[in-house]
Amino acid sequence: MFVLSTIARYIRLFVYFVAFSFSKGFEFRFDFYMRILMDVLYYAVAIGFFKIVLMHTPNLGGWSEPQMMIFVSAYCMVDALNMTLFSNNMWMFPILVNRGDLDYYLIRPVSSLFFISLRDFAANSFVNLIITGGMVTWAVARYPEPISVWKVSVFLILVLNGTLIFYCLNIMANMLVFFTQSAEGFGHMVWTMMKFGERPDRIYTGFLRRLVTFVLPFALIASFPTRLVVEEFDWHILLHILGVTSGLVAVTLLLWSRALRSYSSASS
Amino acid sequence: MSMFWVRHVLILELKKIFSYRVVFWVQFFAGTGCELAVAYFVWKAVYEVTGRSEISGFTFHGLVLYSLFASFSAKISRGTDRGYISQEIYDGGLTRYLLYPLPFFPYKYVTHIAQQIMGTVQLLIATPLLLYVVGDFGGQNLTLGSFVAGVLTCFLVGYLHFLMTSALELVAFWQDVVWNILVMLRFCVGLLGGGMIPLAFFPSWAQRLIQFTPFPLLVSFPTRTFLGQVSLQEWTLSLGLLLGWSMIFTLLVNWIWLRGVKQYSGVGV
Repeated sequence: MFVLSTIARYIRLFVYFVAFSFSKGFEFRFDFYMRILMDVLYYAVAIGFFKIVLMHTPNLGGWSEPQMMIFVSAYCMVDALNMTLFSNNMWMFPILVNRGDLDYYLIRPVSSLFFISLRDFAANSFVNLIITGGMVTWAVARYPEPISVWKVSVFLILVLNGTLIFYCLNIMANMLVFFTQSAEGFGHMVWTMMKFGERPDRIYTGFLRRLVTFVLPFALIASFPTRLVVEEFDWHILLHILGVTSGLVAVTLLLWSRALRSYSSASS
Repeated sequence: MSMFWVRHVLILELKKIFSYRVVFWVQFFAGTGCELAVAYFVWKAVYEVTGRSEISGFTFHGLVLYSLFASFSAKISRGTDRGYISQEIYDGGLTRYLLYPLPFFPYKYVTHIAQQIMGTVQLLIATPLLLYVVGDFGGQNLTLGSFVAGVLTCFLVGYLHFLMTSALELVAFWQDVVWNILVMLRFCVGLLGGGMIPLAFFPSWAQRLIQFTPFPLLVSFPTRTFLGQVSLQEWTLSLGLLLGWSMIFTLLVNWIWLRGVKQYSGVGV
């Protein structure tokens, strides 16, 4: 009963965040529309890149053009989810630590990690979530072979899981500011490293392959879920994704509690 | 006006960049390493599947080298593009430049040059490392002369990039948030400038269209200069184009600046 009421309280709080963010989003109309345009351009660049590369090769990482479009739509959707839920909060996080403003979050009667991660919902990116939904539909609809509903359902759930993986990697990188005190943080680094996740996982071999599938599991964000849809369903891949994600979430929570112990409240 | 301040601003900016040394070096090694690793594995997969030794004039190692120089050409030419002008307008910091005997744009351009210098230092570290890993020049005419010419081109191209960024940042006189326009510029430079894929890989109709934009000058031109693909005649011609685009953007920046300053309230947020 207590657990249910706690969950309900957090959901209520999140709904307030969303409502507040929508009114704030419309206050800055130029930013609202520009951010939509920015993300659409990002999707266009992603599609353009693979279209051009696939003009010179029949496949990349074993995937043909229709398979690649499902993969691109998957990571664009992860990007849209991340931009909607977490990105604004992650950009502000190093600044909060650097200025000592994190104090205001720590004294509130809710989980500090929840509050810091979800407070600023990006209403404008929410529109992009609808656009990427359209991209997924387009990619699945034009796929030459039929894809069953349950496969698409698993795919969408794993895309959500991919967003969780990206969030964990992003916040862990940002947690380093507790030790470096830099207001810039390491968020940019994670965005750069996301390029590993924006290419099919089969192109990686050796040490790098182990790195991106286990330690820094960027390949699990969109590439592994796509394999489950465009190839024969493999339970090992699903178990791999779930196992690594569980480990990553556990490490994130552990590091958060450790990092908070290092927080001095001193501003810079 | 005395140019005494230039050296000081340059030194101050370099100190600022180095104030968080760990962040700086981690971002350099992780960022460069990641970009090169991704490019290496993508092109390796492409060459393995096709079985060809050359695609659009590039061998596999040639493309890896292209990726390194494209990444650094973009980095050196863009210098500072993180909204430092728009932030001054947004928080009212611009006021001090209007009062102090310090010209605003030359000051910002010097900070841009400081970032370009840091990018060049990083390139000087990354190039021998990559050449050691790759083992050859991949059929490219990379020489000490072409390297120096490439660095010089990056600095010249950097002026155009600074002007393009400034024109977008000055929109902050009318709008509170402009960072997303700067990100859009980055996307355009990345794809249409040849930062992600050499322009030779594009369909011919796209290559013809892109030539009418300033984007190839920002990445493809310096990258090809590094790799010794640009003749003296083409280099001179491209510099002429660069001059033309720079003049257009200088006029545009001036035009926006004069209108923006008139309605600048100086009230920070």
